[in-house]
Amino acid sequence: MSTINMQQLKKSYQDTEVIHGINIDIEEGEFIVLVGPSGCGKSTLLRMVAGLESITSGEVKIDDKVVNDLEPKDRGISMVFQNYALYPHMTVYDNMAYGLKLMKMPKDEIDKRVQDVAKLLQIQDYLQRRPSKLSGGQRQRVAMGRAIVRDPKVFLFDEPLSNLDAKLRVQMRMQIKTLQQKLAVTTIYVTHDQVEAMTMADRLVVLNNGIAAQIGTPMEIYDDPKDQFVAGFIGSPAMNFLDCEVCDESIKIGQQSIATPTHVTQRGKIVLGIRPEHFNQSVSDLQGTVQMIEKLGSNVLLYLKMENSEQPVVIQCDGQLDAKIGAVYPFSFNTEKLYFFDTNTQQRIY
Amino acid sequence: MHKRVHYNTSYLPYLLVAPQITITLLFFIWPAVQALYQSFLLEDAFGLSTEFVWFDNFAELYDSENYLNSFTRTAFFSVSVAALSMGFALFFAALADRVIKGSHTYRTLLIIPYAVAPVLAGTLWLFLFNPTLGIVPYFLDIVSINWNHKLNSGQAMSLVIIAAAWKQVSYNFLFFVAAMHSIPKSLIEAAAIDGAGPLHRFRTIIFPLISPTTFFLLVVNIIYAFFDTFGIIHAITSGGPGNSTEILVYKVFNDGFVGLDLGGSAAQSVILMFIVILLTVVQFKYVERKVEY
Ligand SMILES: Nc1ncnc2c1ncn2[C@@H]1O[C@H](COP(=O)(O)OP(=O)(O)OP(=O)(O)O)[C@@H](O)[C@H]1O
Ligand SMILES: [Mg+2]
Repeated sequence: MSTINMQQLKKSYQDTEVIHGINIDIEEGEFIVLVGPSGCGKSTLLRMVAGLESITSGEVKIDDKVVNDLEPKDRGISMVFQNYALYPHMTVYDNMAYGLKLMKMPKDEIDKRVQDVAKLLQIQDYLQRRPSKLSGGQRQRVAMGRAIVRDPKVFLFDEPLSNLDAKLRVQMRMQIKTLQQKLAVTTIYVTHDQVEAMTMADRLVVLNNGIAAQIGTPMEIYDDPKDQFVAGFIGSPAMNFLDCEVCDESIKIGQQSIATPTHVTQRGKIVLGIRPEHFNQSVSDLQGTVQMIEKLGSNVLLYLKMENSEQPVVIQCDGQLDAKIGAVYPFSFNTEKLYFFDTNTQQRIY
Repeated sequence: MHKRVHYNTSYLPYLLVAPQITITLLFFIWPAVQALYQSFLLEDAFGLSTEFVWFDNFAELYDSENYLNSFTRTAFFSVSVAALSMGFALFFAALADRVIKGSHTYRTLLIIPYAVAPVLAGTLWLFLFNPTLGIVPYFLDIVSINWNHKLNSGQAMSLVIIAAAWKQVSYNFLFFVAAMHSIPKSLIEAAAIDGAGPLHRFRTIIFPLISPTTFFLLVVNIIYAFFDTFGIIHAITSGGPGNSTEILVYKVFNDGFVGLDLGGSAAQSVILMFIVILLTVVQFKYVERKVEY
């Protein structure tokens, strides 16, 4: 169990800065998920903690000890790579024992550890196989095993599930999470899949272009996003954003309008955000034309076109809903779940 | 369903491969058949009469101590050339993998020797090692080594080995660099996290993973040393002193065109032909079998 602290962490490649000063304090045994769109610097940040990427400025501390200048092997970390990075010419057993041999551990101790971890991950039967003779899920578990067997202070995962099919991904998601809780090893987990992020994280770090846009528990971030980027990125299907104008009595959305909530005191142009699951279908003060219908089984996503807005409004409805493309569909917002963002700074106002 | 492009004219493919077929027939198959035929003939010293002798030429070679010596010499030469050039190429490639600044220049410089014609390469090394004028003997003299490859057969052999190996380093280097490039970077990083230093990583990860390339190069280098080093040897030692650098292919030339024993020379070249066929078969067999990790 270890703590990790990142202070004003920056990274530049030649002249371009890609990580712009990140501060994160991670507690013992915490499961931290770094999430963000492609190219936002998740891998870079993780690799800086691992020691695979040099640190341009700032500090990384593991257990209150600055590790900036330590080799990866001296940081007490284990990493699981996206492509698993299993040694193809070695058996599963040797893959797991490789690091232990380098620690000059006695043979019987190595054997005991490998067998124990293999049992934990249910890969005992494949120990003598080469990675090429394993399925994707099995390889994934071997990669996990290789990380666990070293008994590290910190686990680092870089999109470890993105090469698996959807069903397996959900299973492995559970397994990794359960395992981490059992072993109580501090973990940093990188993903661009926000469902994965929400379900696994103790705390989420939402990265945007090399900046930590928001840090918090999944529910904090879902309920209380700091800005438009976080609001749009977390939650699936994504939050709707509508340009509107706030007047004294009403908020105008194109030609339509709703009553101005009392706590909204700013006037003028503003961006209104509403999640697809936060619509009210019993009342109807707004309407739109049905543009597309996505049937997901348990529920239905309606894409409604409102005049004056290019983006369709997405509404999550009951699975039984029967709608036709081109029909006019009345709806209204659940006014308690409205978010308002500044048009220019994109910061959340209300 | 497959989509295929159909040409109505059926002669076009033949026309297109015709030049290649002609060249192959004219310069490879025809001489090979000639050599095979000649190897069964015995010609008198003046070239006036020939006699069909079946396998006499081969039997003679089998009994010739000179020829058998040339065989062992060639084996030693090929293995040395392959080991030396592959060793250096591997070393340079391992370094190239780590070089960050000026890696382009580094690589280009290493590839140049490959563009040098064998005879020129030989001449180059001949100048460097010339007993009276060369710069290397001058320095060797300082550490009291008397260099004269025109008299010392061991030195002569070393020199042709060095020259032949030097020329092949570039080729091997390119293949090794490519092979190392194809190893995913994350494997090396995983090993680094596991605690392996650069040397240990090279030994336990990189080297085993490029072994298919190493094997391929081994065969290629041996074929090279067997056949393509003629120019180098011709320029540096002409097979001498004595017969000390006379490898098989050089002996073919010496016996045939200098000694004018055409039948014997042809028999030797037939044997060489079978050796190269054998080596090629071995190589294809291996390459075709998908390399298993
Ligand atoms: N070696 C490099 N040289 C220059 N720029 C780089 C280098 N590696 C990464 N970058 C840049 O740094 C930024 C962050 O890259 P990074 O790989 O961390 O993104 P990511 O969030 O992991 O994306 P993904 O989800 O696609 O893996 C990108 O804009 C990328 O172009
Ligand atoms: Mg990445």
